[in-house]
Order: sequence, then structure tokens, then C-alpha cells
Amino acid sequence: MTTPDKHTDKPAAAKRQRAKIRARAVNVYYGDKQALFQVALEVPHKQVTALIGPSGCGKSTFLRCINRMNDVIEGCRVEGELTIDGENVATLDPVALRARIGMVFQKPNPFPKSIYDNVAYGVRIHALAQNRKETDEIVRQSLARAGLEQEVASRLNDSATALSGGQQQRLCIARAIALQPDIILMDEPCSSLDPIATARIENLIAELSQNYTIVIVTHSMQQAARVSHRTVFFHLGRVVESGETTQIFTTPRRKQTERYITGRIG
Amino acid sequence: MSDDPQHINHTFDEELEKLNDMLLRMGSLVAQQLDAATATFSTEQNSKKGGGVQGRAKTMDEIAQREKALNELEQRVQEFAINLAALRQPMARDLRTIIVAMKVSDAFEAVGDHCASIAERGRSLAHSPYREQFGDIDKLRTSAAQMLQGVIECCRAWDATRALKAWQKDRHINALHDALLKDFSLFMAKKPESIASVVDFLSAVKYVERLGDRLKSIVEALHYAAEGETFAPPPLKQAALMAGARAEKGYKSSLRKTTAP
Repeated sequence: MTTPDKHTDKPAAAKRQRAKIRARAVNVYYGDKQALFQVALEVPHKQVTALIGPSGCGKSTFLRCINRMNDVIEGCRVEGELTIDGENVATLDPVALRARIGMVFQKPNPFPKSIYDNVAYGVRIHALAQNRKETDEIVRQSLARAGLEQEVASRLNDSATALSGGQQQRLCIARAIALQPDIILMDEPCSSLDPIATARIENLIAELSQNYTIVIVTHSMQQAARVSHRTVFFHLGRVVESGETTQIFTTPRRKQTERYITGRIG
Repeated sequence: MSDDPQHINHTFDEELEKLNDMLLRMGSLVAQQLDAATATFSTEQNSKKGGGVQGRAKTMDEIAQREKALNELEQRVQEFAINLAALRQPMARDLRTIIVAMKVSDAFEAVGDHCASIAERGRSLAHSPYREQFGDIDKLRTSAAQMLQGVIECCRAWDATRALKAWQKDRHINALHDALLKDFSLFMAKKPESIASVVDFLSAVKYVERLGDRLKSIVEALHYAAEGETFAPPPLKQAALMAGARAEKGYKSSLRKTTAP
């Protein structure tokens, strides 16, 4: 295990939060190619952690380690230890693990079903409700938490694909939180949205961070600065620096971080 | 502005250079203001050879013009910096540079105002029977000019390593200010009829001391922009700084060499 130093992950003692996710010496290989090198970091509970870095730096690869999505990629091998609440994810049942971890992707991916069924789908699969009334309540609460309830209340049976891009993305967030996860992973959730829809999602992220641990991959430095409490900078498969978002964007400690966030390396 | 590689978007580098050029122009104008303002105390400038009344009027006119130019430049720096912050959304060192540029321009403008006030005092004392003694402001002028030069060099390179030398000059200025205050307090006690003139002179001395404080704040801001941390002199050098200040206190006043009329 590599010891986290001040440049990898060590929140200030005064503000230290319990680590929800802890990675130690995580290496990921796609066949012979190594994508992550000795990644060691902590993701605090009920905070937003942004992963930034140039394309191909390993931030999405790391995100997929958390819910073992890499398992479904042929030739992908993960080494090291990644724990959630102290439990090694490698030893958990992947289906149960993914029920605890919601995921929102770059492009909204609603099922070709009604708005109601999109949110109720996972609830039924995982038998989280005893009857229709309970399902209705979970759907309503999830849509409300995703800031979508008022907009779709009168058309729950309409097709989800008829919603706007921003609404579809919030529906995907509602679908994720309907399973009452501990963690929400977001992989560039606003990259296909306009500024208004982006602002709505960012507002939602701030609200959701009261109850969930959120890890977001973003290419927008401004978005990372706006929504996250902590920021991790990846480069060439390694964690170069992580820390409080304010510190990273005003006084990064590593030259490499500074050069990236000021637009001096691509 | 630093040894960092250029931005991928080169126009941002050009804009930062433009911002820096405006600050350097302000620094250059302030240096001229300081020279001209403290020269109003020189006996030569107040003599017929130095132009007499007409020469003084010309000097005051030039000082007023430079002050106007400084005010305009300060305004331009503020507007340009706000535009850069809004349009470029800078981060890290770029963000600190832009914020600090606004602070530096504000401080240079204030130093320019202090110089104008010094010049006013010099003009009002042109016919004072004690003007020979007021040449003592020259010692302060030398220290302030050296400090200003150091600040401009810091500003040219945004180089924190030069900051300490410029910063410590303020201690010399303070020490000289204290020594002048003490000497001229004794002088007023001996010659109560000099009080009106000496009070004017000491207020000019005070402006130089304040000007040193402003220059010090520029050094501290430039250090913050370059390093991302608050300026603090290294503890080991603290003793040397104090020793420097004590040495300055050993300055010999011309009052001890000349006889007041």
C-alpha cells in the first residue's frame, strides 16, 4: 500500500470526513496496457469529489473500479484494494454492489419505457417495494429529489424518450436514487446538456450531496470548481494531486496540476 | 511573466503580457513622480538657477499630468483585469496574477497620490527659511527610490525571490522616518518659530513612510501571486533585517552639522 501524502489524499484534520471509499495501490490493466498506477485516495462521505484530468488519464477507469463496471470489459484486470465502508468491493456480489451505487453517464440513457417505469424498474427488480402504493411513493420521492416531479407529474405514463436532454438526465438521476444508493457516480453528466440544464443538474448535485457520496468525472474545470468539495487530478494513470477544491484551483501544490488547470498542458 | 510554459491558447499569454505592461508603465510613472516630488525640497530647484517660480510651476504641472495618467492607467488595469477574469475564467496562478494586478495598480495609484502630496508640501516650503534642513528628505528619497526600483523589478518578472530585498527596504524607510521625526521634534523645541514649516516638512516625511508601506504591500501581493502563499520573511533573516534597521538609525542628521537661521 502506498502511504497517502499531502499531494495524494489527506483532507485537513479539522474538516476531515469519514472516508466512504478508500483506494489503496489500485492498478488497472487493459490487456498488456496499464491504465492506472498505484492509485491511492480517499473519497469522503456525503461530499462531492470531482475527478479531473486530460482524456485518457484514467479518471473514468477509476470511476468504473468503484462499482466494478470494469469487470464487464474483456481483458480488464484490477489489482490493489478498493473498499466501501471498509468492505473490499472485490469480495462483494457485483449486483448487490451496483444496487448500492447509482451511476449517471455522459449521455442520458432512459429506457424506452414510460417516465414512471424508468424509475420503478430498479425498484421492482430489487423488490424494494411491497405493493404498487409503495412503488408509487418511491417514484414520486425520487422524481422530487431529482427536481423533476413538478415537470412530469401530469405525464408519468408518457415515453421518457420524449423528455428534453436535461430532463432525461434528471430522470436517470431519479432512477439511480430510487434504489436508495449510498454512492452516486457521474461520468461527465452535463457534457451533452445546455447551460440551463447543466445549472439544474449542478444544483441537484449540491442538494444530493446532503445525503449521498458523489464522485463526478468532468472535463469542465469550472464545473469541478462549482460543484465539488474535493478535487482529484489524474494524469497518465496516476493521481498527481488531490485536496480541497478551493486549494486545488487557487494554489495547487504540484506544477503539473497548475499547468493543467491553467491550460498549459492538454 | 514566469518560467511556466505558454498557455495552449496563446492569446491569453498576450493579454497577461498587456496587463503586466500597464503595471510597468504605472511603476515607471510613479518613479518619475517620486523623483519630481522629493526634488521640490531641493534648494537647487528653488533657486533661480533651477527655474525659480516658473520652474516650480512647471514641475507641479508635470506632476499633475502624471497623476492623471496614473489614475487613467489604474482604471484601465481594473477594467482589463475584470474582463480577463470574466472571459478567461482563470485558475491558480493566472487567477492570482489577475487579482494581484488589480491590487498592484491600486497601490501604485496611491503611491502616486502620496508623491503629489509630498510635492505640495515641497512647494509650500519653497520660501521657508529652514529649507536647507529639509534637504534631509533626500536620504528617505534614496531608500524609497531603491525600494520602488526593487518593486518594479519584482513586477517585471513576477519573481518572488527578489521580494525579500525590496520588502526589507521598508524597514530602512521606517527607521529613517523615526530618526527624522526625533531630530525635527528637538529642532522645533529649540526653535518654536520653525513649527509651521517643520510640521509641513514632517507631513511630507510621513507621506514617504506611507508610500513605503504601500510598496511593501505590492511586494507581498506579488509574492502571493508567484508562490500562492502569504509573504513571510524567513525567520533566520529576521535578525539580519532588524540589524539593518538598527544600522539605519545610526544616520547622521544634517541638523547636527548646520546651524539653523
